[in-house]
Amino acid sequence: MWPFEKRNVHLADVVRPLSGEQLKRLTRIVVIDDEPDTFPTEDLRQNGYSVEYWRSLDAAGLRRLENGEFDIVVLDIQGIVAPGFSDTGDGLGVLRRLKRANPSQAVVACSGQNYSLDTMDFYKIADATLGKPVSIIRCMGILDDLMQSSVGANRYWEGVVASLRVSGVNEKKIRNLEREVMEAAHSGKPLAIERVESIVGHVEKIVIVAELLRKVVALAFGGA
Amino acid sequence: MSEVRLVGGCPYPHVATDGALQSGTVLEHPALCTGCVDRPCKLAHGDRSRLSELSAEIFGGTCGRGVDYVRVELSGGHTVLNGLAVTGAGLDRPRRQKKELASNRVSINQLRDWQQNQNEASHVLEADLEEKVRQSLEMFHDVQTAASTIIRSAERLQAKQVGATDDERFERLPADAQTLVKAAGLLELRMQSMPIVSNPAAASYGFRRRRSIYRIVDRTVRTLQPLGEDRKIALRLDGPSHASVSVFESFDLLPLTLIENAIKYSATDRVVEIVVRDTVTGVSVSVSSFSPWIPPEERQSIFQKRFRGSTASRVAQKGSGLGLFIAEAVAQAHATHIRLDSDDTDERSSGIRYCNNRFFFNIH
Repeated sequence: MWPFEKRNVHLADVVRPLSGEQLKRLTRIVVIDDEPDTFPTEDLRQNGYSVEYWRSLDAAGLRRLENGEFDIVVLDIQGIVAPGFSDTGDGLGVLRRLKRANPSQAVVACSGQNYSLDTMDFYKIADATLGKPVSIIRCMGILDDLMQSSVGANRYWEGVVASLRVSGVNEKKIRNLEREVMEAAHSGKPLAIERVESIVGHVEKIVIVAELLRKVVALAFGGA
Repeated sequence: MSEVRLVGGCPYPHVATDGALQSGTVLEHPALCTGCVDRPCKLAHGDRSRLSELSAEIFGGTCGRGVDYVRVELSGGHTVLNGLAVTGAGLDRPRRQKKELASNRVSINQLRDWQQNQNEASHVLEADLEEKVRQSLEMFHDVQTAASTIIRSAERLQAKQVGATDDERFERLPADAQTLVKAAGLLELRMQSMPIVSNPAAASYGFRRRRSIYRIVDRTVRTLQPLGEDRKIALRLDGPSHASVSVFESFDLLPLTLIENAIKYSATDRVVEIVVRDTVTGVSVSVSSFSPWIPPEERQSIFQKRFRGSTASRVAQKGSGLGLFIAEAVAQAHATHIRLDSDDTDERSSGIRYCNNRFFFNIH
């Protein structure tokens, strides 16, 4: 019998802590900056980070961000969206939308505009900031700390539980889902959104919940 | 810049097209009232109830001495013009006063034209200023991009060396490359400090990370070593400290500016002593140097933006008065303050009194 099959075993009891290297490999980072030269994307990749780079943000990209596909979003404030795309026409509007859709989404405000009082909200709402010029060592230090504090199976599971409770899902269903998640994590098979819905019913933000569960499954045993 | 149109021979203080401040004639020669030559007219500023509308955005009144004053809206603010004899506004006055105030006479239409021209000039100047700021920021942006390349190239150079830590890899670099890496580190810190000058709130952006204060100070001392050598000043770091404290990214600027300041103002052939100690609640950092005595009345002002002490410019001609302002902004972001102790030594050099100055702060 696997530990999770026991009645009183919870996800937190079976999740294995990840090494720094595992965390780097499994944490999905997206950098959105109109100037590729100002961010050390390639250096991060060479150091084992999983980084995707986007020069700008369109509707499809925004949907992926809102659905919580990435663990950490590194966001520039200027030149990343077309005028009128967000309510402020810049990265601040995007940041506000992301935080509304998923308050636990980790966002790094990365810009050279930190001298301006007009951009204060951008830096205050973000979880971390990176002023330009961005050095590799400083960038890795901030990402490592942010990963430690906001990325992990238990943290994402807490986010799922909070979201389900807000949607009125009862504790029994949540417990059933937890067992299902543990089994999926053990077998290494992702949990389909339909399966999640069959357990907890249709809830608001089901796509975000399913994405969080995908991360829980991926991170629970270090991707093993 | 587009042409600034101003009233020719304006009777009021104004800025002429060559940028010179002209005093005007009306206020320079008040024929009757001298009460508002040296100080603002109390009546004009205090008793609004006596103001009546002369035209839209221009209000006027007459003081007890029979002289008119007007309150004009200019660029969103108010300006009061005293010592006038306004005509054509139903403000009648005795024949004797009319004669005495002949040189102060001004019509409502003249005032309105003057107000319009002032506002137009103000808009032109504002637009010009905005354009200059935009151009400066574009240049600053280009500098940021170039600085990114330099800093990361230096980091890559160091990363290519064999070693378990950054310090070990640094030690394996040739001397020239070590200088480059140090200069790149200094460049990075300087670029980080620039936003705080215009926006002190930037010192508390981001989240706090637990970092070893000793390591930060040690790295700063290494970075600034070449500056000290240039001035024949040794940097000595002392006091074993092992504590880590949660600090913002800006924290590095605090020891940087204090040590740099000490190097700048220290007498030559002296030692700048930096001590980092663990305390019950956190870590204390002090930077001591033999430098010009700071009078007690200046010990708070030296942390203000652009303030330079009375002896500062005599010891170091170059100086923006921003270093300690930045340091204090960072200290305040960490809920602490920089304090200064000066001993009573009375050693003089080139007429300047020197003493041991110790800047220190506690962080927890």
